[in-house]
Amino acid sequence: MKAKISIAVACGGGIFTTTVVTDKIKDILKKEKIPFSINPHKITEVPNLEGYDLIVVTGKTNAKNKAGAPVMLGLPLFTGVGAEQFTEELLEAVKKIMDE
Amino acid sequence: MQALIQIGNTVNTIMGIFGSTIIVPVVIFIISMFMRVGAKKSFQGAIYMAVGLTLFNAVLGVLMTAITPYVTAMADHVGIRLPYIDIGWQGASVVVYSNTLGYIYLVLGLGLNLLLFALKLVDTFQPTDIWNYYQFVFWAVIVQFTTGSFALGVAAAVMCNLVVLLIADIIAPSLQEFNGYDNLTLTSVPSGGAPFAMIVRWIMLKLKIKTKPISAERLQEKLGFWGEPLSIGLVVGLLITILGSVTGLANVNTWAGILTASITIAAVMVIYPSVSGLFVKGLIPLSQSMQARARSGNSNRKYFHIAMDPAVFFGNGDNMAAALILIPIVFFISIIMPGNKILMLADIPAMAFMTAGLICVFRGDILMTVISGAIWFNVANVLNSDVCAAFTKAAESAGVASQMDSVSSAFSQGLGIASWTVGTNPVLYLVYKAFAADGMMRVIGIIIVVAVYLAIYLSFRKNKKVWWVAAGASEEYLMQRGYIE
Repeated sequence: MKAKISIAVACGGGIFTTTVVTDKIKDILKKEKIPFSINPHKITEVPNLEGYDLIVVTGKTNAKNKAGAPVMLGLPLFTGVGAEQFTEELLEAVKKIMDE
Repeated sequence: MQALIQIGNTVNTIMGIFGSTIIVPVVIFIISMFMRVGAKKSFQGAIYMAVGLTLFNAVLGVLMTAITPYVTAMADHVGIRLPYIDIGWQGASVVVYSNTLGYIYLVLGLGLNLLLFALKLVDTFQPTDIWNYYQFVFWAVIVQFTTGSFALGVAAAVMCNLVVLLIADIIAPSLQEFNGYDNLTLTSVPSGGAPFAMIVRWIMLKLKIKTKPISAERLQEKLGFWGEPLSIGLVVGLLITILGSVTGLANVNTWAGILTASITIAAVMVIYPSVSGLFVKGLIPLSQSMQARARSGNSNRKYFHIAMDPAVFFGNGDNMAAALILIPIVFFISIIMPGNKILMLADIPAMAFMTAGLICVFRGDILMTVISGAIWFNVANVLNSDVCAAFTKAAESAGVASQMDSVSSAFSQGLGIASWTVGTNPVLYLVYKAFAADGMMRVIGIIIVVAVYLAIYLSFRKNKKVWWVAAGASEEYLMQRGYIE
């Protein structure tokens, strides 16, 4: 069991889409009362990020995290199209990680 | 129109008293409330924006203090004249949204976009990318500051907007097919390179030139450091400071100055994204609520494209590889390029945004993207250099210079600012040139711009498939998505 989930959100410049998606994820996790820490990053950093349980990117990338954190495409939270389905997938992934 | 100018003048007077760091967030707050974003979100956004603007001015002051003496000395001793410091897209957004035309166009442009979309004159729904309006309104602000006419500025903004939408409609299927996103397109500055890429591709096909695709998976890991603001700041900082100190390199004090200034430039590069992130937060509630509203009521069309921030196209492996190869090429050519007056800096990490509009046309061909990019971006630098003086003037009027002494002192020494990504748009540069010309030339220029636009627009509406395929989409994809029968 983990006490809290540690998430990185990454986009091209680490600014615009990242801020939007980060705020959405915060809302989702607060609603579910899941403790979290969340930080903005750039997509170029994804392979070398360390200490995260989960990485959400806002644009498609084939980059994998060397430290083994799963990478999810969070674009639905930005565009709104398919946001509900993504929210379910996110929560499922988060809960699975928390239970480990 | 008269009423708009009056509102503009009144706001400018009040801005003179309170300063843009207070007035701009207040205006954005009012617009957000007007667009029914909600009081709490609007207020939070406005406060973040005010804080972001304040920090932006502070950071710009630090940068100018460090860089001004070296840029001046480099011009005097080495003969490399790059007086316009690239302060990035962030700088352009601050300057545009701090000018009357910038925020008035948020409302005007939204109305225009909704109208064009409702009448099915365009297939791209642009309000979802409202935050990036500044990237084409930039040219309208330049028109306004060159001609002194607000009305011409508004007219230029509308013309630029129409051009941006036409390109967005043409490249949409190509972008979607290459990146694997359905329904998305670009209405921001990366799409500006697409017409050039289309011409290059057309010539290649006519001459039957074929290139071998190169794989770039490994390149990304090897060259990744180039894309980081920290290393870019250090490398560019060291280069400029050393070139600016060639007369005193034997002196240890000179080296102390070189190292301190380089670290300062790197520090600015590292903190800059966080600062602009705060500024951006002011416009996020507005742009998000536009997006949410846009999603309802779109369904009665066979197809349409949703304009999206270029960040979603950034992470493609081929795209990032092409950008990383291009960073040193474009930068070093820019230093020796005759006619270029811009010192590329803050926007260098944004290279992968700019290549996104090229690589889809070349269907992922990295070599062609790199060759075309090296030509296009350097030509663009020369044209962009032509408007830096007007851009600096617009920044002064937006109150950027009055906040920090080092900035106004740099401006008074003949230095200025540039925004590399936003100014890299030769297509919209031509629109600016027409609207800002003198006397009869202006009339002729505007007629030519409108005529060329209409000719391409009508040709595209008549035979969309030809244009879509020319932009890089395959017939199979067009069939599969129902774009063609």
